[in-house]
Amino acid sequence: MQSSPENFESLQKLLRLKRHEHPHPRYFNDFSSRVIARIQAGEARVAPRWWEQFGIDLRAALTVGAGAAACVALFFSMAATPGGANPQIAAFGVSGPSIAASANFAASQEAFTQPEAQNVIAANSTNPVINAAGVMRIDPWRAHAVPASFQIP
Amino acid sequence: MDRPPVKKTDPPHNEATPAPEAPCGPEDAQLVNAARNGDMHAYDQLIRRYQERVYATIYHMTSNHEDANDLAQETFIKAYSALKSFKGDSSFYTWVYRIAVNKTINFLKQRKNKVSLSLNDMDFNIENDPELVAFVSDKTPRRDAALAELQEKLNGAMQKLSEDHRMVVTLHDVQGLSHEEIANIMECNVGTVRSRLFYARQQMQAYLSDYLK
Repeated sequence: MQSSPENFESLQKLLRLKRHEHPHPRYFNDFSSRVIARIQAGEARVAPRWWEQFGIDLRAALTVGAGAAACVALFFSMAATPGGANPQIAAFGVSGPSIAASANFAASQEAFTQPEAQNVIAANSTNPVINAAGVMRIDPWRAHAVPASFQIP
Repeated sequence: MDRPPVKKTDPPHNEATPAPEAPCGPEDAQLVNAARNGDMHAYDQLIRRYQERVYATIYHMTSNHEDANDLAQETFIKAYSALKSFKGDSSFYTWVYRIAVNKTINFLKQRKNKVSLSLNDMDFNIENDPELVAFVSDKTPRRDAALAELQEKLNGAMQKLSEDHRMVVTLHDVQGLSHEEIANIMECNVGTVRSRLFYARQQMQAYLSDYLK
C-alpha cells in the first residue's frame, strides 16, 4: 500500500472506517425529545448580556451602587445643611462624647440653639472651629490639616 | 504559514458519503420560522433532520460517546435559544454545524490533553466493507480483536491532531463535506481548509504508518 505524502488514498480509506462507528441503534429515537425536554425545562436561555459575560451579577451591582449613592447623598446633605443640622458635632464640641452619644438629639439641639447657651459655648469652647453661634462648621471642600502654633506670653 | 501543494481535483463529496441530502417535508426555513414562534414540533423535526450528523461530527472529534451526547444536546439547545438571531445568510444546516464546531473546539481546549476514549461499536455493515480487508485480514481468528485495535489506533491518531486539523479531517475525510462547506462552517477560507487537511493527513499518515505499509 502506498503511503507517500502525495497519495493519501489509503489513509482516506482507513478514515472512512470511522463511519461505521455508531451509538446503539435506538440512541437517536428519543434524542430530540431529550433536547426538547431540556429546552422546556428552561435551559435555553437568551444569550447572556455583556456584563454577565464578565461574571457581574446585575442585582448585586445595583444594590452596591444604591448603597454608595445613599452614603454620598447623606454626606453632602450633612455638609451642606447650615446650623443645627449637625447637633452631634456641636454637642461633642461642648460637652464631650457623653452628649454626642445621647439618643435624644432633638432635645439637645433645642437647648444649644438658645441664645444664652450659644454665648456660653462661644465663650468657653476650646474648639477652634466653633463659630459664634456655637455650631461647628466644616467646609468639606476646604478641610485640610494645618500645623498648630502657640505663642507663650 | 502552511502551504499545501495544489490539488488537481476535489470532488465535493467522496463516494458513499453522507452528504447533506435535500430534506424531505417542509423546508428548513419554514421549520425555523415556526420554531421561532414557539412551535416545538417544528424544532423537533429540525433536530431529527440533523441529529445524526451533528452527533457524528462531535463524536469523531472527541472519540467519546458521553461527551458527544452532551455536546450534541447542548448544540441544539443553544441553537434554539439563538434562533432569533439566525438571519438566514447561510443554511440552517451550516449554522447549526457551526455551533457544534465551536462548542466542540471550546470543550476540547478546556479538556486539554485529558483524552479518555469511549468508543462506539462498529456496525455490522463493516463486515461487508471491502476496504476493511485491506487493513484487517479476514483469515485471522483474531479478526475482532484486530478490528478493535485498529479502531483504537485510528481514534488515538485523531486525538493527536490539533483541534482545527482534526475538525477538517473529520468533516472532509470522515463525513465527506466539501472544502467550501467546511470553509463556511469554520468561517475561514478554502485555502486554509486545504492547507489544514494536507498537514493533518501528513501527520495521520505518520501516526498510522504501521497500517499503511
